[in-house]
Amino acid sequence: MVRRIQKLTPFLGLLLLWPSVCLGHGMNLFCWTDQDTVKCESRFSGGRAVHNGSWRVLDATSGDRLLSGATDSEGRFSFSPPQEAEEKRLDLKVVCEADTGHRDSWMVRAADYLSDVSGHKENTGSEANGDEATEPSESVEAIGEEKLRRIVNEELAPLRKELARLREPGVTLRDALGGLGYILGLVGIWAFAASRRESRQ
Amino acid sequence: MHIAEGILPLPLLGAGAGLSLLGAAIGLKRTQQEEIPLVGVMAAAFFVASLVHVPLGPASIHLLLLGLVGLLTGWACFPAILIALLLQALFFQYGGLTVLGVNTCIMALPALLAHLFGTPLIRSSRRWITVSGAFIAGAGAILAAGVLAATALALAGKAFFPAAQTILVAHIPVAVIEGMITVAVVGFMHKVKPEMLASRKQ
Repeated sequence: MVRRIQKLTPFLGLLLLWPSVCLGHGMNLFCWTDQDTVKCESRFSGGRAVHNGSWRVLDATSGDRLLSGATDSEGRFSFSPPQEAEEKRLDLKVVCEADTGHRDSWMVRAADYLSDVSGHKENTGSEANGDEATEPSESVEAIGEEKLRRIVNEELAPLRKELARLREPGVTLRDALGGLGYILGLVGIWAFAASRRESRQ
Repeated sequence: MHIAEGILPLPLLGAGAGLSLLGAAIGLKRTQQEEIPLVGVMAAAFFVASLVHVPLGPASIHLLLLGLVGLLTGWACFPAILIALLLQALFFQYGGLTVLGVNTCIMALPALLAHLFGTPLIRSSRRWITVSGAFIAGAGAILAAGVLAATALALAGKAFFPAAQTILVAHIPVAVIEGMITVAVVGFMHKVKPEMLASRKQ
């Protein structure tokens, strides 16, 4: 048996030296707007979908719960922002929680889901267009502002998804070595304190 | 196995913090000066074990080395795991600072159990008892940690059984692998440095 274990040791050693620095933990939530609905997708870092996770939509400023539900088998869910949120132009905080204790949240700003342009943005937009750019504003009118907004949103959705992926907290070699350095330092302090205590005695 | 922030209620976080600090204090007090480097090495091993990934279908899971940390460090597993989890929270964003106490208890209590029940077994002169003791300590610690994590979630108002099922099913392969690693390391130590397994106080 001991021989067998000895044979096995190099393989296990190899396992310990596995060079993959990837993510064991964490969950990622990503939301995008599609016309009047907000669509969301939740995944664990390994790529597995969050089955039957619970989600809720909160008012980002007050923290009041507006909506809640469960994710489907592919970790997806969608909702239409409630009337109240639309009227008050609330920013929404979407929180998704897996039953294993993982959790992530995503901010959906009022400007993302409201079909009309928020007052401030409209003003700055028209100012910028002011005197020099009459042509672009005409073409915008021709397409229809809402449609243009939808097109831009659709085009941006994959990009936002990619950004969400990049947002995943990555573990770098520097992090790992930094942590090991801290442990070494703490052990040194502990050993120093212990040796002082012993020499006093 | 790391529970994220914002899920558990405040009393549970407080209890976890208190219990982990108590465990760490006992661990620091009981550790002999010559054992300090070993505790440091085990804290470092636990810290980096989370980067060793075992591919499992579409997902991947990582090692924890709880049984091994418990067998080799005894009560000092509390300070070792507390520090390693603190650094994992700071560097890797695993868990978080408010849940540090609860996460420490989830992982250090099974390690301590592995020490209390596994140490007499691995000191046995009969080889099969040593091997099975090491395997049970390694694998059992992971499963116990899964049960504790599910219990913490149940105390936070989640349904216990679905959470326990998800966590345990995901960690069965880790438990088997960790059992094998623990057997390998204990076997290696028996051969090379048996006093390391014998010297530790119960």
